[in-house]
Amino acid sequence: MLKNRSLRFKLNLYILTGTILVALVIFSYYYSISRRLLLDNVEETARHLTLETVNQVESVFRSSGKIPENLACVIEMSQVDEKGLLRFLREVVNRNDEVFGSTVSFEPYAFFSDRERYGPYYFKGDNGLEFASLADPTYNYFLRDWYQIPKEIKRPIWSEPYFDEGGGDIVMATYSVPFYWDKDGEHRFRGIITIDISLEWLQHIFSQITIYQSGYGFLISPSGKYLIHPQQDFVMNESIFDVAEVNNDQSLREVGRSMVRGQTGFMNITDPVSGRDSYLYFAPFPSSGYSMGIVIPKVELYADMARLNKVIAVIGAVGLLVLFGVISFISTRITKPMRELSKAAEYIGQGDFSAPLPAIETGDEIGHLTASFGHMQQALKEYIANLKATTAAKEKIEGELRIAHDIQMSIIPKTFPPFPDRSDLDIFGILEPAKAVGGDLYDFFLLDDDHLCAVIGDVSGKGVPASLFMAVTRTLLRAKAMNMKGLTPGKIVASMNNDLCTDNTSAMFVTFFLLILDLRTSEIQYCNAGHNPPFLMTHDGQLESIAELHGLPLGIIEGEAYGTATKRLRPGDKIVLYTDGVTEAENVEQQLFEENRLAAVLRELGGKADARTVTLRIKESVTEFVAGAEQSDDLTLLILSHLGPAKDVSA
Amino acid sequence: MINRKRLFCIKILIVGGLCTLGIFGQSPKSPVTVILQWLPQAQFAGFYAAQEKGIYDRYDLEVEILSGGPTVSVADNVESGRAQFGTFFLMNAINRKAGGIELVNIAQVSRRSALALIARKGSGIQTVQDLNGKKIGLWKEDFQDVPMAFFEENHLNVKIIPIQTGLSLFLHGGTDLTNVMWYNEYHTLMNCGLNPDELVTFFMKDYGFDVPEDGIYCLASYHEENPDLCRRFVEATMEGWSYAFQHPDEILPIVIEYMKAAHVPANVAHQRWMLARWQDIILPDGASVISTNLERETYEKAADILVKHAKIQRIPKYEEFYKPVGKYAQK
Repeated sequence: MLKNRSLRFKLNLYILTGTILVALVIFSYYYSISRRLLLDNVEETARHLTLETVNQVESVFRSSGKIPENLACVIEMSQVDEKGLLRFLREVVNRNDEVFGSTVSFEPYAFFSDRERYGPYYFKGDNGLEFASLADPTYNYFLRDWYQIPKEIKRPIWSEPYFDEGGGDIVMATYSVPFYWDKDGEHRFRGIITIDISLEWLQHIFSQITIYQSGYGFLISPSGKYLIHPQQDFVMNESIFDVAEVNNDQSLREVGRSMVRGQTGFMNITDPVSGRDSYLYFAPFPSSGYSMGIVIPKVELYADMARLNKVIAVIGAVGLLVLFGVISFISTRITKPMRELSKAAEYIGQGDFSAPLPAIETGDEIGHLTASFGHMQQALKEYIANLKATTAAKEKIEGELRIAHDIQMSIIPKTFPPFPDRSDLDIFGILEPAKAVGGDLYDFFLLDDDHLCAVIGDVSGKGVPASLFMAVTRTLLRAKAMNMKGLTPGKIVASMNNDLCTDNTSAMFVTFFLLILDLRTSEIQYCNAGHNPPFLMTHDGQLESIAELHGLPLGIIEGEAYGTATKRLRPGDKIVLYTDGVTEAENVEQQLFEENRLAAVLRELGGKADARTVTLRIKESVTEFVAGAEQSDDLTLLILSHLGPAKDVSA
Repeated sequence: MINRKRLFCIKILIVGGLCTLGIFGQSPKSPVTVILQWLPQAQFAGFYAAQEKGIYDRYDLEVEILSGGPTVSVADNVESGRAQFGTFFLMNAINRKAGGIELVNIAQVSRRSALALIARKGSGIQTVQDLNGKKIGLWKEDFQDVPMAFFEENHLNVKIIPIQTGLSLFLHGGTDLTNVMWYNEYHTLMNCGLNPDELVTFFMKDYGFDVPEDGIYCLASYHEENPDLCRRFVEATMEGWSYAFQHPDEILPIVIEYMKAAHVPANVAHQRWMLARWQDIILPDGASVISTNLERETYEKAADILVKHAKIQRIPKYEEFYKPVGKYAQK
């Protein structure tokens, strides 16, 4: 898929992908680190804020707590009468702004030996300092938490917050301190001293807790009841466990359990009011057992970071776009000349060698490539021009050769039967030049009515010179044979030799076999000037080689004498004349056809086959033998048979 | 003719009667007051539902609901005639009746005991015998009869710490055990951050003390004089309960309103729990039909406990104590 995409696409893909990956790694690292730093920071901030608040609140609880503790001390250490006790109480409420009310309540008969209940109570009422007695049996202070709990657990205690009895909306808490006396030899519980303080100041302190936009502080009592919370419905009504139950938030319940146990912690919660993911830091107020928490919505905590991330994302996106543009620009710059070059190459491929190349002036690889391409184009152009010229010349030569071939072929007899009016002669011949023109020749013609002259020859060399030499030989033969009627073939051949040797500067020669058949007697006279020995196929299938040699090929030694041999044929005997194109036909294994193969073919044919059959059969055998291998020599055959004494057909 | 005349006269009488009914069709509502034995909460959801959903109105009742509380005596209010009806725990009512207040039960609303003793698991208390020698917080005397009977039956020597209300003493470790109502303090403990698996609970009903609690009472004389009023009040109240069970989401806010009006800390989760438990108490084991019948055996079992512990000398006659009233009193 990618393979076929453009360079621009690939460059963009690889570089942009790489860049994005690197950017992502950097960004992820940066993000996780800064998030952790931020988280550490917020935990630290929340802790400081919480501890600060705890200290502030504790100092109030502690200093308020000192009041009844000191009073308890006084009562335990000294004999206080009712008057003194009431004065003490009055002063406690009067002198301490934060103290709303105070009582000293005694065990049965522990102050007045005749009174079961004694509980004077001073409080700040509508009319200033007011007095009430808690001795009313229906109130039964012995069973009140503020009395009973410190009595049973034998230590001071801050009560759960409550609404003041007057029905106002002021949330109060009572600090109860037990005191003791020694009676009847026993250290005995004697009563409880309390102060009631309004917790409004707590609300004030918590209202000043601000962290991020909507982070807030809250306070719960030892039983988990919300004492301070921005959600007013929660305050004094719901406990953190109630809210956890309503919201079905088990983790909030666990937070609550940790808080009421007086633990300190920092954890994730779902804010019960907003439902947002938040962080919570919580810590206890040791003296009262209350526990405070600070809730920070994560959204706000990470708001700055989210903003920064957005900016980074935008910068990143713009950067990538710019990078995309730059890569596209560069890759276009690189690939444009390449594309043009490729187009030009395409034109050149289609044969338009003058297609203009892009003008590149840079010295880079593309410039070099274009320059090389230009050189190649120029060289190609020249080469093609040369080729054209050469081809034209060659075509001209080939044309001429074709003409030479036509001429050559036209000077040998090719019409069979050559003498349709003579039934005593059976002649067939072929000449197949290996090249366009060859140097082989055969010929036959009647010297007169009774004499047939037949020749076969093979000029040394190939091509036009050989064919010219062959034409000369043939012309010479015709002239000599006609002028030298009655002379033996040896004389004619000797005469031709002399003529061919004269001015034979090209040192060409021709092997030559000439026979003259006396049609009356069936006697042949022949002269073999260096040619392959012909075969005589008798009419009864015998085969013999006509092996006599009468001299060297023609055109070598001037004045050479050539002899003549004579042989009588019987009707149906065939003379098989051939050139070395037959016997030296070569197959791909470079084996030669040889005389023995030729002899075998002839034997196989037997005495009855006619000249045409013999010729075509030999040719066929040779073709089979060479099996398509290219031949270097012309293949020439001339078969000639005298069928008997002359019978004039026309007669 | 005579016959015709007489018929005419009868017609006039009938029409006149109808007219009279028509003119005075808005028959005057009967004003009654009921005092509930505790501060407003879902324990009394049936009363609030009957009041706020117009059920009392439909029964031609104009009901004033008074709330009890730690310092209010329901018995005093009923005896003095300040309230015609009051709710009592069964034991409490028998005790009062034996003590001379002529109370009659006209509807046993609660069908089973919700009372339990509870301890922290960490305190080492596992079995009933482990209670020996322990400090146990119990509410004021009227609530103590069943637990005391339970202690005596199990030969437990415990130290009773009378408590007014709430769980603070127990939570601060002032007592080893405390009494709770299943529908109330049990859940409060959960919502003070204690998990059920951190607590050991002894339900009185599991130890042969399934003495049901809330019932509706009035003076015997009042019942004799106003049987129909009693019937209407009981039927309307029980219809209110039915409505509350079917429409908890509608009734809970009403309960909360009553609580807020009384300056009682209110939270929905707790009241939802309480209402659901009251459904279990009024319709135990998935019962679908409300019953206000007080079975003789239940009564005698409760009275026996009181006699055994010398709280009363004689058992008031069942027939004198329980007066079946209205359509829910079927056995």
